[in-house]
Amino acid sequence: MTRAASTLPVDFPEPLFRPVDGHVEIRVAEAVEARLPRPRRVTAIIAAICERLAGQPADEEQVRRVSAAGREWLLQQAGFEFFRGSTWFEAPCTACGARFDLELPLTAAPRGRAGNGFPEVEVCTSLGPRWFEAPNGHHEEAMAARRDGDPRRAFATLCSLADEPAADADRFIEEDLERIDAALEAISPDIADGVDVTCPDCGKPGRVRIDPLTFAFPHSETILRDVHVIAGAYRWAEADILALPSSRRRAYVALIRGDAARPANRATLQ
Amino acid sequence: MTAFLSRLAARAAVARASVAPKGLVSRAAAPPEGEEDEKAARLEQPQDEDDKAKRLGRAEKKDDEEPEKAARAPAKEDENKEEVKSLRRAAEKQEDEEARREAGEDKMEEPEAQARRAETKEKDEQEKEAKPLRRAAVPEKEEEKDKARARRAAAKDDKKEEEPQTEAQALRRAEAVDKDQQDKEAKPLRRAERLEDPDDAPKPEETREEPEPKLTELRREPTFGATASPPAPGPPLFHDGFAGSASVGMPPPRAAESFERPTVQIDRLDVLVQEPAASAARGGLERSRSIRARYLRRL
Repeated sequence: MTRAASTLPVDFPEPLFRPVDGHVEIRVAEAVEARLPRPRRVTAIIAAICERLAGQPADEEQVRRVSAAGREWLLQQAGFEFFRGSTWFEAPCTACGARFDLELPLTAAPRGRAGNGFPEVEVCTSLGPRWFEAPNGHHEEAMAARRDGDPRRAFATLCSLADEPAADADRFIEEDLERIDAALEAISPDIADGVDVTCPDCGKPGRVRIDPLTFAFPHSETILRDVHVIAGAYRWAEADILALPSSRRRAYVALIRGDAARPANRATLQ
Repeated sequence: MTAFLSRLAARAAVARASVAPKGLVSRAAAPPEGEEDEKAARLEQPQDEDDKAKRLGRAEKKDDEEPEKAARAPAKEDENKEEVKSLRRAAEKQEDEEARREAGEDKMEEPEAQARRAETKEKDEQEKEAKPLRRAAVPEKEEEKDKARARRAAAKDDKKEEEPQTEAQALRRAEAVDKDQQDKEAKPLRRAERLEDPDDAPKPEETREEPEPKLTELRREPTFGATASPPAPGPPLFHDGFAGSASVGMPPPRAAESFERPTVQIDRLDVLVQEPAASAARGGLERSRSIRARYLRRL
């Protein structure tokens, strides 16, 4: 083992979220809407909403150090800061395409704690004993940039703590890759990011993903519209409006719209 | 069960099927960088590619229609603006040309007009000179005219005696001609009258081959025996054949009228309603079509 593990030794680092105001919302929204690979967007979102992670300041580098499952859990927790919908969801069947309803209490999504020795694990390979670290944000981002090849060999290169990880990965045989995969799974924490379902229409089993990026976070257009409404009515600066707590900003917008909707005001405006 | 590392790799990709809150439109997952580059490359395609290539390109890019539409919209607007500009330019050019032509014609007309004016002046002068000469020639002509008048008066006296005979002949001829004309005018009217009669009207194609029903069959014999005499004091009890046409407020038919009115009227109505109703409906359809067409043309 020639290099130290970069993965944060806490499987699910407790987050301290920032108070949600316009600045946070717009940062999160822009991160969600960015045309970037998913792992990079996840890093940006967590860094935007989290002030601290496991007692440490939560910048992007810190977020990248969190394990893959820890990042997914943080993303779900961040989503709950914005998403206050019901537990009823709908999903398409992967076989017949029919949409069906399902109840998902997302706050109670199951998660598995990290194994002993997390975040490092030693694996006996055909090349001898090799040390690996649990996959984290760095590895996920690097993995997203790769398009082909065996993901296990790619992770074996990325997560290896050896001197020459690439050379080792090329020489690993199938059994080595299976052992590495099993060892990393054993030490890594896990989080439910999908649901096994049976389609009520065709009766075929399938799996649907729970991706908070697709529904939980605010849209930049909505925030900018709020800013536009308040700025138009009160002549406040954009920074001042974004500094308002989100709930207060929405209340102002509702007041302005309510005034505009009243017939008496309409008459005076005309 | 797929391998742990394969699952991690799959998580980085866009989900094929994911849950969405019920009743809410889920946010479309942003495509990764590679796809973004491809889209940008497509958007940068030159606009002068031929229509076939464009159609093929659209068929391939079904998934990327929305961003392309957004990109096409300004391009279309530009095209429209250019078209409008070119049309305006053409119209302006035409107007300029017409103005130039008119100006040229005016210029060309001026010498012609001058020449005409000069000609008319010369004619006027010539007439002024000729007038006294003509006056001198007039007395000779008047004598000749008097002689001619005397001859005509003598001829008229002779004719006056022959007039009664010729006038009578002319009147007879005129009467005959009037009659012929009246007959000619009346013929189409008579034909029209005949055609208006439902029995003479041409039958529709569907019923042309069917045997013509006899008049006796159409004219149903009324069976008012029970209601005709004595008049019923209660609600009217019509025969089954007339139940459909009877309304609650209709008075009971009188015994004296009951033998003629219903039979003739209803049979005639049946016949009358058959033919013109169809043509009227057809005419109404055509009218409504033409109105709709006009309305669409206005739009």
